[in-house]
Amino acid sequence: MRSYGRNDRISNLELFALMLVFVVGSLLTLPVGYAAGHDSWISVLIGTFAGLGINGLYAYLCRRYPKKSLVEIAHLILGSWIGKLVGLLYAWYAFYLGSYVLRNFTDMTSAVLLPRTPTVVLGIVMVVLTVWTATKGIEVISRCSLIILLFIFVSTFIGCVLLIPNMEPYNLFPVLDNGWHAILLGAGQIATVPLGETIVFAMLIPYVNRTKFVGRTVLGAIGASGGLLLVTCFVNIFVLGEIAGEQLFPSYTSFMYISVGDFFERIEPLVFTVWIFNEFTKLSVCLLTTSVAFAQTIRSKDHRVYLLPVGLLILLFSTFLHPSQLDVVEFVKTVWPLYSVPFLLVVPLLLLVVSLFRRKGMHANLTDAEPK
Amino acid sequence: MFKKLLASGKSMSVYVERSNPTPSDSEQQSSSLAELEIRLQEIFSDSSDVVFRTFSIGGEVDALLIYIEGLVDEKQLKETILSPLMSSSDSSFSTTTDNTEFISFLQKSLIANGHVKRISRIHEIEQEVLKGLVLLCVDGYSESIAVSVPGGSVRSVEQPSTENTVRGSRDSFTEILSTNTSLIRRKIRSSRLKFDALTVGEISRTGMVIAYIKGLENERVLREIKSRIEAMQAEAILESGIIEQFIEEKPFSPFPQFLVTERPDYVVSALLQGQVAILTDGSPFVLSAPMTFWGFLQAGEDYYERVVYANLIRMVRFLFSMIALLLPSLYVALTTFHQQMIPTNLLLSIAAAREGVPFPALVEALIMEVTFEGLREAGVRLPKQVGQAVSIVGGLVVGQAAVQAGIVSAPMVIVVSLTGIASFTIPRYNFSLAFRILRFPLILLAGVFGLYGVSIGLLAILVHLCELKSFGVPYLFPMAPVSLKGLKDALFRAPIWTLYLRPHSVGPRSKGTGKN
Repeated sequence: MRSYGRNDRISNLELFALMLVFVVGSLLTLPVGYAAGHDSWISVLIGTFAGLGINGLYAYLCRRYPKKSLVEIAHLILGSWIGKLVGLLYAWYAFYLGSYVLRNFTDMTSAVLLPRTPTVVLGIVMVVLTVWTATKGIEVISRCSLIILLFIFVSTFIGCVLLIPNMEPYNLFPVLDNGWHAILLGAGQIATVPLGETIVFAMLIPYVNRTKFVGRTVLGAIGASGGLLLVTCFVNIFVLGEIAGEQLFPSYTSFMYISVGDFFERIEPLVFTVWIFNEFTKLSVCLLTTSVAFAQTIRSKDHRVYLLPVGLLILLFSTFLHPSQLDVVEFVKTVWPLYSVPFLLVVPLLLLVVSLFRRKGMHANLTDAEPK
Repeated sequence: MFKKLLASGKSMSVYVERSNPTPSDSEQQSSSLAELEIRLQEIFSDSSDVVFRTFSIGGEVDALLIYIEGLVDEKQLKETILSPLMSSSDSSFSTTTDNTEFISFLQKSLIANGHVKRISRIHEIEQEVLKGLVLLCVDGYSESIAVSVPGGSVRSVEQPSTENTVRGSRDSFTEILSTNTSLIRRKIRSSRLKFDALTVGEISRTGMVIAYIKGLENERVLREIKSRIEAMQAEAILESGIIEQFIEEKPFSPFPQFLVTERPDYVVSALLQGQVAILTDGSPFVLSAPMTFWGFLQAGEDYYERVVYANLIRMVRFLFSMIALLLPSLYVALTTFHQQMIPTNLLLSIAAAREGVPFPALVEALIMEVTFEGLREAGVRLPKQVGQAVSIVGGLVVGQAAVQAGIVSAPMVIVVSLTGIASFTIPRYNFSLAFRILRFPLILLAGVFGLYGVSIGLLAILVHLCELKSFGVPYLFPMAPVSLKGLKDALFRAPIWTLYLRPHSVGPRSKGTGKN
């Protein structure tokens, strides 16, 4: 707790905004969850419920140990050595996630806005900005996210309204055309990629000033993101139909259809600037959580020391992890959901089970008065 | 070694030179008038504006008047002090001459002025004379009387010159501190309005007043402002801007953290919102803190006009402040990188206009923006007689001729002039400076990275704004952090009866009770 620095308290509303922006960041830019073509909205529904489950799990865990981060909880109930291992695992998870966020971001910016600029230059600019932001602390990031959230709502709303002429609701039919398998595959992507990534917030929950309501906030944020995802999913299906799943950036492609009175055409770069804001928030959070998790693992007092090295490593990783953008997208669609299962489910479940047994062992004589 | 000695010798001599006439804090006034006069002559040596006037009270007791010419109303001095004292008959004070209470008798019965004060220390005498009071010393007494007979030429209360409103009071602050406090007091007839007087500046000894409304003010801010002003080490305070720079939190931020205004009604409304105002003698600009981002975008009419119009105009102002910040950089980004976003017909005409221009859009924008800043600076400095010349040169040569010669394109001239006009819609001059400064890095970023650069620049500004605080109040309050109560008066304003004149900004206080 001492290592949190000065700007170290955020309200529940700020946590809500931060999580929403964090989740929406990859929702809109990645083609995840479209395995079932025009049935993907069912994937989104199922995936959202699964995401609520995953997030409920660690929110409950954090509630049992107020003012403790996931790494500190692991230290507490699994002992120092296994705790260190868990800490490193989560530092790695956030770090790896950050690399993918940056890679996806630079790829997309390069494809959409600046085709002739080397991607590493875009990455350097972004990393410099996020490291600078992360040194200011969680408070500044989450306040930024409040403003960014406003932009997201406005741009999504305007985008959807302007797309109405291009919408074709009959694209939804026939329902369940591709069978349940594809739908569940898509649901798995939704649950693990955008919604499950919020496990990094288990490192940030101790910053929240009123821990009592954190569970509600987390579930609310996931529910709201699921809602937003559902809206964009419907829009994409209405506009693009079956090809929604085959696009590299489905939402972006949809926005390309906007045309108002032959005057406002091709305004998707404006929407894209809002996504830059999203990715910026997401990368800042990854950077911060990696540093915090690492600092807590090695019991270091100040996590800010590690921000710059972590930022540079993220930059490095993002450049050589994959040979091409298609490779990244394929990896995120097929490997990432499986890869993230231990981080999202196994370890938190393990922690929860051990903590339940520990608690029982410790208070064997007391009547069971645990909060539900 | 030798150098060192020399240096120490020099500083010694300076020390001796200075120490001689300067009175120590405890030096008492001599009761002999002759001695006192010699001492004061010594203090005020080579000061031609200090007047020593000897006379005798009722033809019996010698007395001395000291004052500074030009700070005192000589006519009033004659009427209220000289004439009554000189002409007072023997009988009227024969009963009291032996009495040691003679001084208080003078004070009570003979001097017909409002402000009268008794002092006995040389250093106090020095101070009071320099403040512009008239000192009356009487032979045989070790006490003097300081009488306030303010006069001399001062600027009268005029219309505000930098902050105009269609509706609202027409007075503005002047250089005289007492006039300024009176302008505020006229609008708040409450004993809860407090004026805390201070003196700052080792040499200038400038008078200052910290104004606040007891019970509404944010105590933490008040304490902080006071302690920062006391910790200030300045030789002279010539303008309130110097105080601002001494006590603001982030001196290198482009954004101002104080409201700077010459309108009493703005100060009063700031005080009613719980802010603390700082008035400085010699400056018609009053500081007030804590301020938020939204506060800088508000003008008096926002409250004086009816709610629908007020909100509309506030939106216009917000839109134009964004134009002032972003238009040139967006133009550069779109014409350089993202031509597809420009509607086709518009793109064609822009391309046609830019055809003969030898510079890339980035260079063109920088040239025009710098020129515009130069024109603006020239406009502020130029003597009134040559104003016509500059506007002709600026308008015709830089505008039309440059376009006709093909050095800059016409759309760029339009963009730059629109930006210039937009920056004047920001009601606070010091706030519009921030937008002027930030425009340039944004143009550079747009020229290098296009829209990506602009978003990166905007993000950096956003992060800075989220971090910035004015005396502990977050700059973006009530948007980040969110306060529903505060949102009643940020981007939009709710009807006036729901505001209760206590819109926002200072935070954690309930309605006018003054508790918590």
